Amino acid sequence: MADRQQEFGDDSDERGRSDDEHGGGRDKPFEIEVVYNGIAKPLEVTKDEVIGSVLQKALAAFGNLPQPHTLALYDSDGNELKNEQQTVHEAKIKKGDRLLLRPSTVKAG
Amino acid sequence: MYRLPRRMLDETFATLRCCGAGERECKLYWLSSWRDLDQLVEVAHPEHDSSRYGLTIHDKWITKFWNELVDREMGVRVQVHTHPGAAFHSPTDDAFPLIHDAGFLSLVIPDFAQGEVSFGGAYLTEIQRDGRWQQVPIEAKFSVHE
Repeated sequence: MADRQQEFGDDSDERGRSDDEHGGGRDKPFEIEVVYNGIAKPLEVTKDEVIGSVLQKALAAFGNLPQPHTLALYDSDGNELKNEQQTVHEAKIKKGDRLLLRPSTVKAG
Repeated sequence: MYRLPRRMLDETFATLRCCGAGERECKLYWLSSWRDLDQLVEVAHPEHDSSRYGLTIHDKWITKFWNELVDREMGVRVQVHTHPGAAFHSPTDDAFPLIHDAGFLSLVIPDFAQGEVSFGGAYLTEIQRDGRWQQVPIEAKFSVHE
């Protein structure tokens, strides 16, 4: 049980208790890291937060990079988190996970 | 100003020539540690598809590279790529860099790097705070040392 709690951050639903019973439950923030160009920054997210919101927070953490529309979030295996309406929980992002903030396409011509 | 070891310049031209074979564009990156940002120390040659008029970096390589950079506390400071003829920054070069920070440099080497190992004929441009690229003097950004 403890492992599962660790795996998903603090998740009262996972333990069969309501959110209210657990002092915030699903909305309780947990920390992940976002990396960009060799720098890792901690980011607090909640399970119900949508990926679009996480992306905006990641961009802000790195100083509101120019041309933000060219950047996207990926998991550490390289799967792009394309659906900005998907929640952190639905995207299977867990406490301590690393997300990559990187361009989707890199070209020259 | 970045300190650029001559061995990196030699490695850069050797890689661009070998990979591009005088027929295709090639690209690589100059890295430095986040603990000594101005001292360039390493050339990274990405996996890519290329033709005479362009190239695309492999997605899987970017993921691997992104993870390695943070694990090694390194960062990308400069991208370097070749053109078949004159060196300049194309709209594609402007739109699709690996790094989007203000201050990031892009060096373009003419003639598929078939000329002498130098900055002769090369073009250097830098991302400004507003995201636009602006040409900058090469001698103002790099100091080559042995």
